[in-house]
Amino acid sequence: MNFDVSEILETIKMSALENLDVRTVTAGISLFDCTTGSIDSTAKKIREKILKNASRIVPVADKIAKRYGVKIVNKRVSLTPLSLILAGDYGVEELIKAAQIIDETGREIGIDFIGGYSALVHKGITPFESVFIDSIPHVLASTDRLCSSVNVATTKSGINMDAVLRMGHAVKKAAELTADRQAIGCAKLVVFANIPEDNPFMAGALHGPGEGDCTINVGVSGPGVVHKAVKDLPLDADFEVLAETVKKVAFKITRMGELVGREVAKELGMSFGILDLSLAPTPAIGDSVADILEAMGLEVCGTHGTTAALALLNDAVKKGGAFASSFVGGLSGAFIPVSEDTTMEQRAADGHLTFDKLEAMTAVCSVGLDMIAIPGDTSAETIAAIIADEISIGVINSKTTAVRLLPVPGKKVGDEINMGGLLGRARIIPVHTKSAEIFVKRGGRIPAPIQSMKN
Amino acid sequence: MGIITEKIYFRKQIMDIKNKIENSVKAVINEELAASIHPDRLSSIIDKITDKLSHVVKPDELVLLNLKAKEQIASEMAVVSVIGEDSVGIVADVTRILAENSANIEGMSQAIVSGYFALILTINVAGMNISIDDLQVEMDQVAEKKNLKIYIQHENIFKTMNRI
Repeated sequence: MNFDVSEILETIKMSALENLDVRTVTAGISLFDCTTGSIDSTAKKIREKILKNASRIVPVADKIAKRYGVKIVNKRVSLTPLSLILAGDYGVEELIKAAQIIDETGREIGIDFIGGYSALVHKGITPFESVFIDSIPHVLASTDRLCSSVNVATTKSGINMDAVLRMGHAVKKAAELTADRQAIGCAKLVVFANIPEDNPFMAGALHGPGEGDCTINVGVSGPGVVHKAVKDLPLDADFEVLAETVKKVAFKITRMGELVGREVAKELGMSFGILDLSLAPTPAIGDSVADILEAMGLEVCGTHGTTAALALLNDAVKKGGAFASSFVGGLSGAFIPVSEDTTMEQRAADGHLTFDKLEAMTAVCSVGLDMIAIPGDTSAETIAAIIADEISIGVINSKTTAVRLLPVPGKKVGDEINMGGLLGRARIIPVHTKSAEIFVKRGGRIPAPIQSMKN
Repeated sequence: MGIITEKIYFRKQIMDIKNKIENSVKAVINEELAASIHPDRLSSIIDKITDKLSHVVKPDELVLLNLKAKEQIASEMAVVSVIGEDSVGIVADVTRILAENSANIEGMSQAIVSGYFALILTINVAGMNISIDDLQVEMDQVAEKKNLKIYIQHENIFKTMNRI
């Protein structure tokens, strides 16, 4: 087969200059065969299963990356929600110990994050799940790699407001327990509505109960590539051209991701699950979703028109991806994690991109209020109210939404925090200060919306 | 080659194999037993053994096996892209390394793209006597010397990204 010079150069340019990469190769591992009568031996079995199946994930991913000249940035593992596996008559201390064993296993095999310290409590909380949620902040403070997610609502079951309030407190507690480390605990904790069972991206990755034994899910990125393509268009190119351009780039990125994912899965003897085509920004220059929106013609990301631009981007990315692969899953769209996107962080710090605008944007893109640093004195009830707002957007629109907030203790509006690496840095932005306490403390469940009755 | 002609071709090959087996078996049995056994009985044994052997694998299975084998040794292509400032001897250096390592060049194109020199080689890495990783190391040395970037990538990446 012969290739045009232009085709080859385009591919090389994408990976060498425009930050095209496979953001994560995540091995989903089912733990249902690891349950035993005691939490200690269960944790040991989990460790063994991870070692048995995923110990080669780093060298294999590196090998495939080399073969195709594409970077694979992160190698990760996602687990069956541990609240299902560790369930029993245990306390917080015992859960921390089990979590540390799993965390240590991640270090041994050289991965940066393990997802799955998770609970699915969208309809109700069992007594064990209650203890489990209490343990989350402590686990996040005493481990490095373990990530936690809690699903508090689905379109089918409505919003468990008891869980929402509990998570308001959990986020607050996680911040306090890691106050000396820029509230890093909160960066590993996501509250979800309609959580996907096969999302490869952290911190929300888990291996859903409906998944198979061992599966490779791949998260591809490429805001830089899309930005370059949009920037190269004439300023008067119409929306049809704009959408078409994004779609074509998304197609190519998706194809590349699927190729890499399938090869990694084959080498590891796992099945290939899904490809999550999400434009996930990183703090690297030129790897920004906000840059794409601005290249479409907005003076700054956050001004009027931002939601429409993001909607166009998100939809075109999905369409290109759906054409390229039959197994697109996870979140697939555009991410707007503020601290991880240099331009977006700048606009938020300058006051152009407000908290409320971010919330509106989440109605049309694939995640939610993500990596936003807010004042340390924000109350647990206010955080719960923010979660409730965001989660209701997901529930009503039958989509995934999520909240990952950093209420950094002692920090006020305008102060800066720096978490380093992919998590980036952020300045504290204001949230509304009037109380929603009475509302969030009502307790119970917000009923499932009428659109859930589809049967 | 069509499947019918391929089958005929393989049948001929099977006959060759049968003859070879027959000759080897003959040689061994002659060597071991010739002195102690009647010649007629000897040839009957040989006939029976070769007949059994040649039916171990049916012709159709052999055809399949052969197709499989062909798949495995089929060419595996990689694309070597050399990009950077133009200078004397780039093509010579790159192709010398490829020749030394038995990487056959199956396609070659060169262009000047916005002032930069770009050389694209399609090579067959199946018969290479070193790994792609080692080849990359050697190329990196040339790249450094001549202020270039040299990428070696498996062709599948270009196939999947550019072809439906």
